Amino acid sequence: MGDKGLAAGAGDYPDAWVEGIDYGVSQTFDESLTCVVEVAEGKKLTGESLDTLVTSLLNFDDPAYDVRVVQIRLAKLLGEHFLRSGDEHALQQAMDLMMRVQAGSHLPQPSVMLELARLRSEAGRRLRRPALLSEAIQNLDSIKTGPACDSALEQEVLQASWRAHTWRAELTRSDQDWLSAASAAIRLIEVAEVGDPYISSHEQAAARALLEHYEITKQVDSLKDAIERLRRCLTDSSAPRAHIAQACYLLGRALRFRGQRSGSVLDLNEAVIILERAVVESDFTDEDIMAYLSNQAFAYLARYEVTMEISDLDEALRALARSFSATLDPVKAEHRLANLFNVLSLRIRRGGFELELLSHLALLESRLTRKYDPALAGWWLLHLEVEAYIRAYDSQSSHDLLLAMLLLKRCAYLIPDDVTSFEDIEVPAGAQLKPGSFISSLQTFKEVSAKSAGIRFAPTDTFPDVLGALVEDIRTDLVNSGLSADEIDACSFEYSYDLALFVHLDNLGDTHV
Amino acid sequence: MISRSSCISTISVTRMSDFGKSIVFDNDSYYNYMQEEYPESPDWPLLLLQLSGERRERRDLIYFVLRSVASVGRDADEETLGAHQLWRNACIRRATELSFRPEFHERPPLPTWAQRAVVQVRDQLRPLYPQVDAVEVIATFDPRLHVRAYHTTRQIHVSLLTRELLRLMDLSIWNAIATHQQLRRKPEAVLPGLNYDYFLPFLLPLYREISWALIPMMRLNSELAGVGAATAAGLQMTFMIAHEFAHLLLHDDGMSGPELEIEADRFAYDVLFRAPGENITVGDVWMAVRWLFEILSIENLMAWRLSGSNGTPNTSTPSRHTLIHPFARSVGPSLIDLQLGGAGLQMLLAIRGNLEGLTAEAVRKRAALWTEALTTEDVKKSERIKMNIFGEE
Repeated sequence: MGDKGLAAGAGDYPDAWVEGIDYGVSQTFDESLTCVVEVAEGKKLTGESLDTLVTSLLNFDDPAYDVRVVQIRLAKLLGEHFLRSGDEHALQQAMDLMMRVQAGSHLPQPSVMLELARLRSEAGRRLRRPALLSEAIQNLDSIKTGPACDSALEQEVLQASWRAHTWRAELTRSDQDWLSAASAAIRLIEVAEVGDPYISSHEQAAARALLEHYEITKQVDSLKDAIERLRRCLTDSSAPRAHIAQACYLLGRALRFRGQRSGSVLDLNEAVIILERAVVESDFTDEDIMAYLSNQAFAYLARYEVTMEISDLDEALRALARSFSATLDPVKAEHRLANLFNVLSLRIRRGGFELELLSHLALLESRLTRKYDPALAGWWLLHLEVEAYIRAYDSQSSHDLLLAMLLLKRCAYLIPDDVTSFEDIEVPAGAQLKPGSFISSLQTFKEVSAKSAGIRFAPTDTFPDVLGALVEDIRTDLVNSGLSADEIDACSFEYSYDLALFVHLDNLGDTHV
Repeated sequence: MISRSSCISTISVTRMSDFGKSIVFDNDSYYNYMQEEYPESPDWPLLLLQLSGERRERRDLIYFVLRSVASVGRDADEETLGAHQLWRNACIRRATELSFRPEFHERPPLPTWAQRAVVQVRDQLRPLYPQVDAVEVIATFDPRLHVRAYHTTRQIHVSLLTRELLRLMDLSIWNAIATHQQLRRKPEAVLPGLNYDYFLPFLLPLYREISWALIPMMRLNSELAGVGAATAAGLQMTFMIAHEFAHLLLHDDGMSGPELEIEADRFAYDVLFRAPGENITVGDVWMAVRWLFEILSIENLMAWRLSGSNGTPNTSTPSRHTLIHPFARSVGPSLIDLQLGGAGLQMLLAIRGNLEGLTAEAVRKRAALWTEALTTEDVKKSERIKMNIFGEE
């Protein structure tokens, strides 16, 4: 290669960016270019200087020099920068460079095509653009059918293909993509050598795709195949803990699906146990544990629907509370909040005392007051209070009455006297309650309480009037049942609730005395 | 009344039928040295005469640890107090005798709690870190609240005083919780508040020339308090030991910085929350470690005040105690653990708040009073500063 240094263009790369690089004529073209790219690797990939470099590389058209290596290197660098920062300009530059290489005078090498496909896949996933993933899949298909696809390349292409189909399926919920992802993973198992440490990962990938396929199509063969593959994964005792946890999670989900389909308590029992193992094996601070806990709760709920055992409902609540408590992602937190709220409603309706309910209610309040205005948090709790109140007067159990009294007091504490409307309330996706006016909420409550306790309310009564009257009413009933006023105070759940609320807030970093 | 069945600590109570009047033994500490049959040294007076300054200091430290094995219930009668006096006499003789044994100077034996903690941490780590068995854990009588790793010797040094002091501070919190529960049943009762003065006399020998043999003894308000304090102290020590294992297994010699401390804390949380130990709940772990960071920050602040500073020690960013939050959220302690742990946490925060609001001069003045009371021969002066800390008025 000739002595074609970048000295002439050195002015295009200000010192601030190419600090420390000497563009003397002694450097060869390749050496200079490599140096520039190396500097780019360690520097911020932005600015005019970078644009100039990319443009130079795009327009470079001297057949005497093969710049493809540098073009690809910079393209990959820009791609990585995009993945880190989301800088779409960098992505566009990366793809332009890749396509420049592809459109070169020679036929594109499969490895270049593979790099381009990977870049498009990553970009498609990151930008949530199925079209980019489709282009990547086309690239990959063309390599597969091309003449130069040896077994090493085939494995790489299969890996990339599995990823691209998986990511597109996650965006489009395409059952065909899930099947293609499963096929790619299964083919990877077939071409792997005996003892390949990745076989278990491929099994898991195939099983996951099949499980997703079942969820969409309800094709039992996919579910059956997924369960068999996941059981095989779990025989690999040398697998890393996170891998075992993920396999347990998938198997637990699969068994739950099968149990729900057939009503088999045996499947649901196994689902509960295997999901517990997923929780135990996972990293406590990892995002995955929340999904494992939620699924464990769903398995308990599925079993509850078959057996109607209240302990299953309590276990489901416990798992949901942990899952919700640990979730920081706002979107997922919203769904898990709705799940917790709905199951709490169900649990209160079901009746029967469980001390842990206080902790779950306090958890709900701690997160509601953090996310919403306290009045709106009170409005949420009011819906649970309606359930609790009806239940208490149905059962006449002192514990149920005390729970209803506690919730009334929390609502009274959270909803200020002057609140007149809940119409703009935000309701998380999945919650089975609808925004309503203050008046209609009040009316509902009055109707429920008047029916239950025979209290007469005036139309002009406000929330504090109603809540205060109901607290007194419950207190009177408790006294009539033989408890002294002191005993009611001593037995009240307020102290436990306050401490639980304090700790739930402390766990968010909101420590206060 | 909150009750809990779990306990790790093997506490034995004499005359269980009447707990408040009993002597309670902590089998986790050097109880074995007090149970061991040994001939009464015929040279006992001679040994006493031979106690040089350094050896006397070591004897006092050993005595403090031996004495801590037995605690007296809150309502102990004269007969029990007499029995406890005999126990203390036996402790001082035993401590004197042990202070002449070379191993109690060079390498004191690991008490039961430390042996258990080391086995627990090693068992948990061995699959991933086979080299864990090459790390040696050594007991010391360092008069400091610390556990420390040494890369060059692959050793972890555990101060026996640390566990006993933590147990005392945990006990003061547990005693307050027990009293709180009893008083809650009487709505008109005024619930006791806590302030730094409950910790000061126990920590004073760390900062002043006071013999460890002279610091006060704390009674037990309930069996729950005794078990809770021993359990909490055991878990706190296990956490600190696991933290030091992390430094030896993950970090190179000479490396330091807040990131490494955070990594070591995460490592220790994972060890404890993943396998809390027999009859231990994740709630016990959360409570013990959450309290530990508050206790350490109180001790740190107290050292500042006693050294004359009115400032507040810098806390690392992010504050180390916040690292437990994601673990606490995902493991989900039970309501009982939240109640007990939350009540204790509120008290510790109140103590810290109380101390933060005081000037160095005020704290030093109080420390001087305690020093005088603890070192004086005058019984009346000593009596004046005695406190019925958690008793009902």
